[in-house]
Amino acid sequence: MRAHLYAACAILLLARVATAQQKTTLDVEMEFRAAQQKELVDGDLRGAIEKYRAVVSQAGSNRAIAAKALVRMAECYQKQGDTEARRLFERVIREYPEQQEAVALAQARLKGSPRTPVDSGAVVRKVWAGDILGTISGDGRRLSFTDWSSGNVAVHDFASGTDRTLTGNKPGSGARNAFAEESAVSKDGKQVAYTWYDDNARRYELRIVNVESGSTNPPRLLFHNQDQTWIAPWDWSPDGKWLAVTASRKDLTTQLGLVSTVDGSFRVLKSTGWSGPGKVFFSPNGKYLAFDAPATDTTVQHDIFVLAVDGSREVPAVVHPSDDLLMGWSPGGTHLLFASDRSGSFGLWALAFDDGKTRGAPFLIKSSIESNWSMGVTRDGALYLGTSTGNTNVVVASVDLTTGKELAPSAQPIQQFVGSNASPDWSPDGKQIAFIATREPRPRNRAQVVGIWSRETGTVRENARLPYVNSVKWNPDGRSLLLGGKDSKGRSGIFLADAQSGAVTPVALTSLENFVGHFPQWSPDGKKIFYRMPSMDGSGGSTFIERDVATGREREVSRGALGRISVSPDGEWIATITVDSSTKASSLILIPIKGGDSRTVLRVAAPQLLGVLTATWTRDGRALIVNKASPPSVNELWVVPIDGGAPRKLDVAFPGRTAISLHPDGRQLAFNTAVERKTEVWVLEGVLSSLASKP
Amino acid sequence: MIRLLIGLAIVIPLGLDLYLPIPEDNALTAAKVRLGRDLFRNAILSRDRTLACASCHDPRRAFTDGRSLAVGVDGKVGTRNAPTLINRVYGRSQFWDGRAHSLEQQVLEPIENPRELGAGVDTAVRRLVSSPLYRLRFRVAFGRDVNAQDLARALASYVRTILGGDSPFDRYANGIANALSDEARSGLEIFRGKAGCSTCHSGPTMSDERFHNTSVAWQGGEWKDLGRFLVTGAAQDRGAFKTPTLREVDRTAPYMHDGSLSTLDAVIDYYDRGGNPAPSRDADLKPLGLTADEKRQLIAFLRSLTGMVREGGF
Repeated sequence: MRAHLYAACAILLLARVATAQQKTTLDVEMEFRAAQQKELVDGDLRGAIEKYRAVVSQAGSNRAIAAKALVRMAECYQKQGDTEARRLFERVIREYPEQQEAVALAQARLKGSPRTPVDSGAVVRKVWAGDILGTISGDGRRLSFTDWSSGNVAVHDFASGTDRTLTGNKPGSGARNAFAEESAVSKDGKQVAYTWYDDNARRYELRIVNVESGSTNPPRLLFHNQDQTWIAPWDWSPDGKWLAVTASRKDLTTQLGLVSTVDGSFRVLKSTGWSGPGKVFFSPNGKYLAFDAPATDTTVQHDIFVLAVDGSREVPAVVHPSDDLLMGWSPGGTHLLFASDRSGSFGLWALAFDDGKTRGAPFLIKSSIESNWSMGVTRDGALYLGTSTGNTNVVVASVDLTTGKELAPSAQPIQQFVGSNASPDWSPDGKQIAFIATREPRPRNRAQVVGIWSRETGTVRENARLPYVNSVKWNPDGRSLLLGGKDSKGRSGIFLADAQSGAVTPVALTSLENFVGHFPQWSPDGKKIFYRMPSMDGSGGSTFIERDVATGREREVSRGALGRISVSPDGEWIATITVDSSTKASSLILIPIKGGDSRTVLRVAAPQLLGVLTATWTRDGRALIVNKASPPSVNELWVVPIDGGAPRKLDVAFPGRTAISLHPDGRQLAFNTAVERKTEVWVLEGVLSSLASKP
Repeated sequence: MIRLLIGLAIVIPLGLDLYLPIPEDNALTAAKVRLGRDLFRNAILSRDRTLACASCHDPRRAFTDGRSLAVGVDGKVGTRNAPTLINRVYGRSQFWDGRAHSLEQQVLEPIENPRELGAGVDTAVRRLVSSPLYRLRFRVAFGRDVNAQDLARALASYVRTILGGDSPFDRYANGIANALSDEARSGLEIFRGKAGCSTCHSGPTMSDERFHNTSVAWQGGEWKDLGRFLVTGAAQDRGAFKTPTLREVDRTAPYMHDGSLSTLDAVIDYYDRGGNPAPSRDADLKPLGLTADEKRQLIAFLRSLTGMVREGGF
């Protein structure tokens, strides 16, 4: 018996030691990420150096992270012009010889790469402020783009500094009923292939338009397929006869293929999971397609592959735990170019490619790169980059809901992932805010992260990660988060994330390919969730569903033109905004969850409207906070008593088009600033010319 | 339909990817494929020379055998249903439990398994060595004497040429709107919508190549077959099996890893009721509430997956 007891104690002890070790490793990795945030997001080099130093001292047996931290620390010193950088690079080479990547980076910094001196001769400059969904012509003169003010596809001519519109939407009409998305200009700059969305037909098409003749030669429908939900051209073959495309199918898989520019025939080269390939570029000799894609259908990180255009073979060119994103081919096709975060931040790397095979190991040619979104490489080796900068942040406003007076100036407390934070939700104890951070600088998001900001420490920890998240709500017990979004298979659904570990489990998957507006909410007791489903009766409306968490049993609560769900504190009502399709009047209504007729609390006649994302209950359940808007620019917050009392305006600057979360103290409102992204085109010159010769 | 030259003419049916994942060390050649095709049909690989690979993977039955469980030499009954071999070139792993990472690894197991062909690979190789004709053919195909690895390469090469596509569904998906009947089109909507079949049965092979516990193996309060767990040892893999292709599904009855459901109606009824209650059952399984009309439409769609099966490269 005693022996058993000793054994049990030993097992427990071992388990605790193992847990402690695991936690230490996790802590060090989190510390490393925090250091990166300080360096790369906050630009605080001194603070970053201290954090990297802490990582090195705590790394223990994790020599890989210690070496990486030393390299990053050295880079911080180097940016400050401090000679300490050299000493640290030398230390990495001397003390961490088995850490090949860190050593390679350190050597590159000290001596320069044997092929290309890192960063030497590199010139990066901004060349244009505009859309980044197009590509550059071979001579670097023309760039295709979408003019989002009209939805037209156009080309920007760098020689003349002028834009030429190629499609017929009215100027300033906005991208509403029909518009272009991705585009690719031919190598000779004479034609543009582009994605065209036609809202009447509800379909995406692949079209081609002649740049020179413009209006005299109208766009040509090249291809569309009833089984595809989206198609995009990425590159032209050098002879102009083929387009490299990716297409999303209705079964949520993706096809990488070629479309003939002559007859519009489509060849599917390879099918992948939902997230599919990222960028695709023809090799300069036209024999290969290079593309980046997730290594597996459950990972976010991309690797680089090269596929023969005749389908005869595929080469896994860059397979590495880091995120590797295709940037293109060097002039002459001697090297693959890719952005990789293997050194801690995204740098530009090259890998020799010859006779259908990769040669040697990748090497760094520029230590940091402005963007990992390539718009193509010109014949003389200029790499065009698209940057996308967000300006969306979480705002906390303090206001007395009774008087409507602001109690303190609004603040933006979350200082990590600045510019990409949205959809805040206060935790039940009011000590944390969960929010959604868009971590992917590419135009098409590949990953969104749920962050949790601590009021006590001011820090953010990353929680769950999904390809797409658009709503996050704390469970009333504070232990988990309810997410609306998409899983790695592209299925819309409702997910549960553990508030500590971030582990995600699906609650309900709806398999709806393009629907993301479930806006799931908890019942106050945490036993039920409510979510929104589009009605299947063709009415265009939606249905509110109640789901029992324990049994999975569901029932319909209400249907109609319903907006976001807001459950009352007593669990008796759902508040939502509904819009009358004929009069366009919007109403704040209360729907009894247990059944019965809904009642209208507030009705606003067009052109005024109530923001469909708002309708937030006050803590006492006697009123709702709603956004009353007078388009195009006036947005106000009002407190609307449900007993018919007079609504009162809040003295808070509110941007509109965002949900609101009310702190448990009933005074602090959290919401996000308007979702805006600024896109620019940059060019990197002077680093690829030395790659032109055969390796 | 695209004719592709990779050492031999391969016709890739409509609906499939042009790129065939073929290992660098076993390039597809006409000599290997023809050799593999003959071996596939030859009882020389079974212990008592009564069975061939084609006995359980009958080309006339879309490379299945019509039985619930495969029957090997001496009438020994196996533990699982013989799966179709259609489009296995695109597969990420082989067997119901995915224990083989390549077709080269997969094709030798039945020769070794006493409940299948049971000759043993060594015996099979000795028999082939003793045949002047096969010695010659191996030399032509591989430039060397018969050995186990080349036996696997020849069989795998042949299996890689078994391709199924060009079905009414493929024609519909490629723009021929009337290739599907109204009923089948409605069935496709249900397949991708209300029934959620395409959650797992998607892409050109109509399979996500993942492993799912659809609770079929949970019978009488216990696991009759642990499935993927036997390979990974991971608790969540108990009772999980690889998603089978649905191509030619109307010709590959009976269904499931144990052949326990004899008709498509039975399969649809099974999923309509949400499967059986079982531990760690796949979260996607839930009662579907399909009407009789919807079930009929779903079956019409599944029958539209019957197309053209090509093998041997031509």
